Amino acid sequence: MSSSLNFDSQCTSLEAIKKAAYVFSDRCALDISEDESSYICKIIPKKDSTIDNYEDFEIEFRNEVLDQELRIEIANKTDGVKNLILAFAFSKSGLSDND
Amino acid sequence: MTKFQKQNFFQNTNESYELLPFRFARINGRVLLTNLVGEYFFTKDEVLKSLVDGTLPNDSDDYLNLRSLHFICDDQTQSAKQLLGIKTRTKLSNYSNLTSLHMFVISLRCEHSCPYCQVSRQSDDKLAFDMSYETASKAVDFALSGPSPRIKIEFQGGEPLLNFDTLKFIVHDAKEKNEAIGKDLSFVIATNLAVITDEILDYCKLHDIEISTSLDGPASLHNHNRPRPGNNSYELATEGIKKVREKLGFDKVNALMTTTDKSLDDPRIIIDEYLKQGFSGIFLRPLSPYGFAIKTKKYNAYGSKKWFEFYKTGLEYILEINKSGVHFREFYSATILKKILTLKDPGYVDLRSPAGIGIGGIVYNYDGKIFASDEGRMLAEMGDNTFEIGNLATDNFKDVFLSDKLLDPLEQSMTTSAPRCSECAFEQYCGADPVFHYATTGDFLGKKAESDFCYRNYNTFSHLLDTYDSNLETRSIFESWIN
Ligand code: SF4
Repeated sequence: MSSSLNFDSQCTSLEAIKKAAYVFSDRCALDISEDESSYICKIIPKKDSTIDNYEDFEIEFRNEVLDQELRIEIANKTDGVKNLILAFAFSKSGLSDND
Repeated sequence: MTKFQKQNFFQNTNESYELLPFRFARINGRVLLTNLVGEYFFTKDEVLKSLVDGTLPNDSDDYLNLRSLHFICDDQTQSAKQLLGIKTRTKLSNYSNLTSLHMFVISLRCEHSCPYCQVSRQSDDKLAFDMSYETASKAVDFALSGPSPRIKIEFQGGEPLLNFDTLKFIVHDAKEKNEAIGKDLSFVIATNLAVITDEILDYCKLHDIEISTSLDGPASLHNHNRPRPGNNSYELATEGIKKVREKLGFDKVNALMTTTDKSLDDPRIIIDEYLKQGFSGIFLRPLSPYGFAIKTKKYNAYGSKKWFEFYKTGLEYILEINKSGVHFREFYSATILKKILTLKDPGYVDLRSPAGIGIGGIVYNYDGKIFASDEGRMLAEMGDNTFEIGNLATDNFKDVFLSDKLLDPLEQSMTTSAPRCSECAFEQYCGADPVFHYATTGDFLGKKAESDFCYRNYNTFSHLLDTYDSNLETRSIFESWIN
């Protein structure tokens, strides 16, 4: 048995959907396609996995997509400062150009 | 005149703050935040959202806590970035002293026939399965040529005491060569104690050699796991533990359990046995997926989910024991808590990234082959030489440590860049285990969603942090374990 989930492509990033799919890859594979306004994700359960209740799974999956969106936002806002901190960490190590 | 500024002095005046890198996970209805150096903070979902939106009120407790823990910085705390840089450097500096643990497999022979052991041989043929003096001497040279100021030589087997002459040769050779080098040198024998004698113990006393033995639980479980002629492995081990304590001192022997599917029935009887034998703690070890376990597919039969239930029940029981006034530690939890609560690396090879293979510990096999880890040696016994990284007959320290055979699995398994790990709130505490993932999936990185290693670590970290942060009494017990 398989089922589908739709995400509005204006509000949801494909990256977040893919990252969420990776988290659930022990239970299912996701076949993702796109029309004008949405991403359509067909859930293909793994042979030995049990997705007993598709409603529960959908809630879990949608929440995971939201968390992944937040993670992407945090990464976008902090990548610059992360590089700066790592530059401090490696300065005087002989590995950076400025030593 | 007051000595301290008022609290509002420390509040951000321009009402804006900068996010510093962090990750989050959800645990039992709370949100856990961890930062670049492993500092953590539990909060609510609303706080996380307003933190990321940039709307967290700068006079709130959450704001002040997050600022002092380096999750955000503002115009008064710009030095947070340098501080995080220094802490990152301190953490990484643990890696500069390559390889302090050197495992010498001096004999494959053993009088036990444990079903999960792939390496031991029931044989009297010393020439075929014992390390020669020539190989031993080369292994000593190799071990002493690395940069680590501390060298621990661990004698392994089979049963290393069946080749006691080579053991003595290595101790003398290493001490003699080290006189000019001056490293902090120590020795430990990993033995089942079945063949220990007074002569051996006198020698250990003279050279300050410690003993590490195996104790799997009470007699029925231990003897089931460790068949030998006479079916008396437990009796010999416990008598041996007494003898070692009498001759060498109470704390000169420690014990490790091997976890099998039979162990998982009830951790409490195993813990009771450790208490009965006077040990101050136990390591509730996961079963490794090698040897017999992989070959017979027994590993899948019980997997990490069952182990995690076993661990949780055992930990709860141990906490009750501590609450009754008996100091008794669970070493796996203590190791993880040390990583979480201090900047110190407890040196546990499975919780390091880059992985601990080779650079945390290295194995010299009886025949001169060099392996990146003990599990890598077991894979080789099953016909897969992926983790054979050199040979004492032809390779020196530099050859081995710069070889692709070691560097490829190290590079390919780093958690900082691994899918899922790179976003995981526990990445700072976790490690890479390329041998495990290679053995179970065929590649060094593995797929973390399907990985037993990931399942075990993710759940153990969540459980420990949640337990530590929810209960004051438990918190003080945990703190006593790491101090
Ligand atoms: S292995 Fe699992 S628990 Fe460890 S860092 Fe990676 S995702 Fe997190």
